[in-house]
Amino acid sequence: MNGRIVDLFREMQRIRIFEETVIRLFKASEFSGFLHTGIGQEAIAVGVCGSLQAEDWLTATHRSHGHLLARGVPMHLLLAEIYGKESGLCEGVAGHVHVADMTRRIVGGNGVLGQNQPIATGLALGLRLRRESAVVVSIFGDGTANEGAVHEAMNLAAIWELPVLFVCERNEFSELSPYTSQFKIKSVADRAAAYGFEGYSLEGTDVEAVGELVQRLTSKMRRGGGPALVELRVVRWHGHYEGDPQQYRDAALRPSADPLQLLTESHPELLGQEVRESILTHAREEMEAAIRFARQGSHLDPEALFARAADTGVPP
Amino acid sequence: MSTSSSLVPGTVLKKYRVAIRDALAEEMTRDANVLLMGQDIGISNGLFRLTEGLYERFGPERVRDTPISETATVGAAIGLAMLGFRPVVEIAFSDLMLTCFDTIVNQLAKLRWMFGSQCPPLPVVIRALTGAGLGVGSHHSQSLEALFAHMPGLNVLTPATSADAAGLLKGAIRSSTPTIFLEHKMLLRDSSPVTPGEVRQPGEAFLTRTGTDLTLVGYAYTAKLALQSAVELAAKGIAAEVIDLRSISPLDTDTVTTSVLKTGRLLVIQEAYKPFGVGAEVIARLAAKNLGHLKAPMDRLAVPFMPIPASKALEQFYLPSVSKVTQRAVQMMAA
Repeated sequence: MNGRIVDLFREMQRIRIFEETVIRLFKASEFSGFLHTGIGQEAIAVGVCGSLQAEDWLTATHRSHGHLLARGVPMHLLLAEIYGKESGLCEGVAGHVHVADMTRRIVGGNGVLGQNQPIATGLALGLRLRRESAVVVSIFGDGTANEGAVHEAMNLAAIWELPVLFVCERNEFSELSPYTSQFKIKSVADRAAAYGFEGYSLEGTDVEAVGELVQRLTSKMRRGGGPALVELRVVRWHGHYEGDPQQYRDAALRPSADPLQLLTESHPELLGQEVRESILTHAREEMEAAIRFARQGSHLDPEALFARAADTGVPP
Repeated sequence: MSTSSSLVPGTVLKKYRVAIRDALAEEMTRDANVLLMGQDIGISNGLFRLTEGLYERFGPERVRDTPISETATVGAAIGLAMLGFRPVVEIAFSDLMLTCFDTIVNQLAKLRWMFGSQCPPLPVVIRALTGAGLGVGSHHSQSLEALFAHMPGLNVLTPATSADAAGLLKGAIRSSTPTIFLEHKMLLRDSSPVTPGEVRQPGEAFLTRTGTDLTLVGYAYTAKLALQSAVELAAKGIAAEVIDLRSISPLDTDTVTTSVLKTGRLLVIQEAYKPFGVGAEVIARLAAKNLGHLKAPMDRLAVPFMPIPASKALEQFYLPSVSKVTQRAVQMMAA
C-alpha cells in the first residue's frame, strides 16, 4: 500500500518532468509540428492507465504523453517520436499527435477526434469473441464527446455489452471553446443514461480516487460486464496547444489543483521532502537520457517510406 | 492481362448475387477469423439478400447485425482487424460510405502506414452496392470508386461478372490490404460461369473481346455495356476490342496500352462523373507513354456533371447506354 502511493507519485512526477521539458524544447525549436501537453492532468493518466493490466488495450488522445508514459512507454522512445526520429515508436512517421505503441496495446492518439472510440469498441468485441477477460479503456476529451462517432461507438458498445471503459478527460475546453458554450448538461457522464449504462463524474486531480474507480469498473467488465462512462474533471493548465494565446480564457476559471501536491498533502509521512527529491532527481536523469537519445537519432531514410508503403499493402 | 477461359470442369452458372454469398460462405468456412457486419444482414439476409442463409449457417457472432451506424461499424472492424480478425462490412449503398469516409480513408487506409510494422495488417473488406438503374435517386445510385481510388492504402474492386465477384472477393478477404468492394445493382441477377475455389487477385484487367478498330474500356456495369455495344458495332463492320478493368486500384493500364497500340482509338465508359475520374486516370497514364500516332483523340463517356435524378425516364437520359456507346464509337471511327 505504502509503496503504491510512492509509485503513483513517481509516475506523475515523470509525466510532469516530461511535459515541462518538451515545452522548453519546443520553444527552443528542437522539433517541429504541434505540441499538446497534459500538464496538470497527470492524476488522470496515472489513475486510469496505471490501473490497467498488461493484456488490456488503451486508446489515447492527441494529448497523450501522460497516457503513454503511465502505460509503461519509456520516455526516450516517446521523445524520439516527437523529434521525428527513426528511433521513435513509429519511426517518426506518425508524430506527436498520432503516436502509438501497439506492442504495449496502445492505439495511439488520433488526428481526427472521435475516431478512436469506434476502434476501441471493435477491440472490445474482438476480446469478447476470443473469450479473453481483458478490457479496453478509451480516453477522450470533453470536446470529442460532441463527435457523432462517439455517440455511435457508445451505443454499439452498449447493445453488444462490450468491455469498454469510456473515460472523458474533461479539461473544460473544446480546443479554444469553454465547456459552457458547448454543452447544456452539467456533466458529460449524464449521457451514459442515454445509452443504458452507468456514468460517473469525479475530480480528476485525486489519483487514488481515480484509480479506485477505474479498478472497480474494469473488474466488473472482466467478469462479463458491459461499458461504462467516467468523466474526470480538471481545468486545463495550458492552452489547447503550446503557444495558444488563450484569449478565450475566463480569468475566473482557475487551473485545477496540482495532483502531485494533493497526493503529497494526503500522505506527508510517505512523501517527505527526501523521497520527493529523490524521485525528482531520477525523473530528471531519465529525461536527460531521453533527450540525448532523441537528439542522437537520425531521420528515417525517405526511400524507406516506399518500402513501408509496400509493406503495409498500399497499392502502387 | 487474363484471357477468356473456357468452361473448366466443376464450373457452374451462378447469379452474381449468389456468387458473392457463396464466396462469403467459402471464406467463413475456410477461416474462423472471417466475420460479417452490416445492417440487417443477419436474420433478414440483407436488403438485397446478399447474405442469404449465412446467419442460419454461421450464427449471430459471425453474421452481426449492426445499428445504422456506419462509422462505428467500420471503426469496430478496424479494432477487430488489429486483433487478427478479417471483418467484411456490408454497407448497403456506396453513397452511404460518405458517412464513414473519415473512418475509411483517414483510419483504415492509413493507420498501419502511420504506426509501421508494430501494427498488424488491417484486412477489412467493405462491400457496398454501387451504380444506378433502379430509379432510386441521388443518394442511392452514385458511382464513387474514384473517391476511394484517389487515396493510398485501399484496393478498389468493381467486378462485372459472377466469376470476378466471387474470385476477387475471396482474394480481398485473404489480402492484407483494406478493400472497397463495389457490387453493381444492375448485375445482381446476371448469371455467368463460376469455378468453385477460384481466387482472383486485384490489379489485372480482363480482355473480354478482341478487335482491331477501337478499344472500349469499362468496369462493373459499363463493362457489360461495352460488350453489348461491340456486338452492335460488329453489325456495322466495326471491330471493337473490349477491356473490363475489374480493379480500379491497383489499376492495370498495360492491358489497355497494348490494346490501344493495336487499335489507335480509346473510349473509356464510366457511370461516374467525368472530372478526375477513372477515365481521366486511364487516359493520363496512356498519354504519358509514347503511343505514336492515334487515329482519334482518346475520350471518355460519362454521366453529366450533376447529381442523378430519380425518375426512371430522367435516369435513362442521364446514364450511359449501349446506344450511346455505339454512337460515340461510330463518331470516333469517322474522326
